[in-house]
Amino acid sequence: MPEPIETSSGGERPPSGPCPLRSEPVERDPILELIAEIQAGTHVEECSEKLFRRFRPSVQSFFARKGFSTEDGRDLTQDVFLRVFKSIDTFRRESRFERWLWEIAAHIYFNEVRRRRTEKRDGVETSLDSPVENEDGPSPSPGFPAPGPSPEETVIKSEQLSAFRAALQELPDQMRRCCLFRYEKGLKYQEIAITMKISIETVKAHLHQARKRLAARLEARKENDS
Amino acid sequence: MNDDSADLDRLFTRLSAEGRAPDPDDHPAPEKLSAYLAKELSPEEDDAIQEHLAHCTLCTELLLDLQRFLDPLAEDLPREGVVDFETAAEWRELRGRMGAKAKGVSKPSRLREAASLKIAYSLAAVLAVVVVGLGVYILKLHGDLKAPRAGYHIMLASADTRGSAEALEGIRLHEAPGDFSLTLEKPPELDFPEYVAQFSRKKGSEVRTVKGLRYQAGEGVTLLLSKNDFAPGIYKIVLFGLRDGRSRRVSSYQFSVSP
Repeated sequence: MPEPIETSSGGERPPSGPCPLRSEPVERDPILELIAEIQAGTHVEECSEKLFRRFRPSVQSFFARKGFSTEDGRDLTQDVFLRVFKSIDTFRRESRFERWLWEIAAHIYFNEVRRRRTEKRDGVETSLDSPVENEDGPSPSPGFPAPGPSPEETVIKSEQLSAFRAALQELPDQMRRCCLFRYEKGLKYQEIAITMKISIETVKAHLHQARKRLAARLEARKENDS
Repeated sequence: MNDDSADLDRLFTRLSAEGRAPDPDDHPAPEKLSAYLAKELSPEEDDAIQEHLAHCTLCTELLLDLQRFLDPLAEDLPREGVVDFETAAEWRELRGRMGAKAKGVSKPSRLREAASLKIAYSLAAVLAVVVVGLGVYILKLHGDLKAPRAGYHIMLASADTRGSAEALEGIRLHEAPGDFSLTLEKPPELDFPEYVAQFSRKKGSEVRTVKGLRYQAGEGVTLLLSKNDFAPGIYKIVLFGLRDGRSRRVSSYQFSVSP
């Protein structure tokens, strides 16, 4: 019988492994040991409960971050574990359980989003509080354009913005994507590093270089205009 | 900050304020996203996924969720040494659903059967209120209610049988104007280093939990409570014994608080 699983492989995993998604066969992974017991049909009840207790908070918090209510999040979490235990025999212990669990949670999330979208398709609701899009983006109050630059200024800014977009497109792919993640999606350096599988230093270097190149483009454009 | 840098910041802000293009309609399968993070894809596939991510907020967030599954924050881990009744209840429900599946009983998702469940819960709640109300009425008829004291009045009733005001088998009440204490006995064969008493309203979902209780030999498990903490109503107390992070139900009782 494996020991209690509070000593999770997730939180205490040494950073030395080449890839966080693959399990390290040399190390003793209590999670994989639990799964091995379940797959072997021994101590199924106890091991399943331990697995559930260990990972329920992760799954529940996943659905909470996706904007589901506590009640719906609970239901979806149950659906995830129902599928986990139903198909646990198909889990190959070559990769980490967390990865497999996340894949199941993501599938259930996609299905739920699709289901809700289908349900809403016939009746589109538009809130009066939702911003109305105009040429300058969302305006602060419905139906009224945002106070701001004059039409002439708007044209100049739109042109400037178009040139800026074009300059952004000309950046090398990684540099451009760094900019999109940082300035369009508002991701932190650490999050960009994870998403792009590069180091934080590389993210910073890309962003620094991108700003230099874009600034040079803007400067050149100013000189042309004057 | 020089002018160029300020200009850039303004342009980036403007770009962001323009509103992102909507996410693409097609998304890579979760298995593809996890393979991307695991560096298991070909360079071409890898590049295509990264480009998709640059334009898709949904997939970017999912990928960051995967990272959080792999390196969970403290809040995503079970709290050590804390008895999580909610998780225990969820596990029991899941086990029930798994049993139903195993028997070939196809149980629809609770999301889809929410409406029928709500009706069932409502009927159960109405039935419970009627039963409890009837119990209180019968007790009043028998003159078991004591004369009202200062503050609220507490009355005991066992979970299974109706009882009297101050003592029932397994539970004793000591009442003062502002406070009261409950002493709960336990079966001699059930002995635990620690006990937890969980209070729940018969009507509604308010729950109070008193942890860290000990059994005093010859006495029982004593709870010191303030009447101010209990609104008028009927409460159920369930006493759980704890050992090695696992809980076991020991006994249950009811009491009512009336003005």
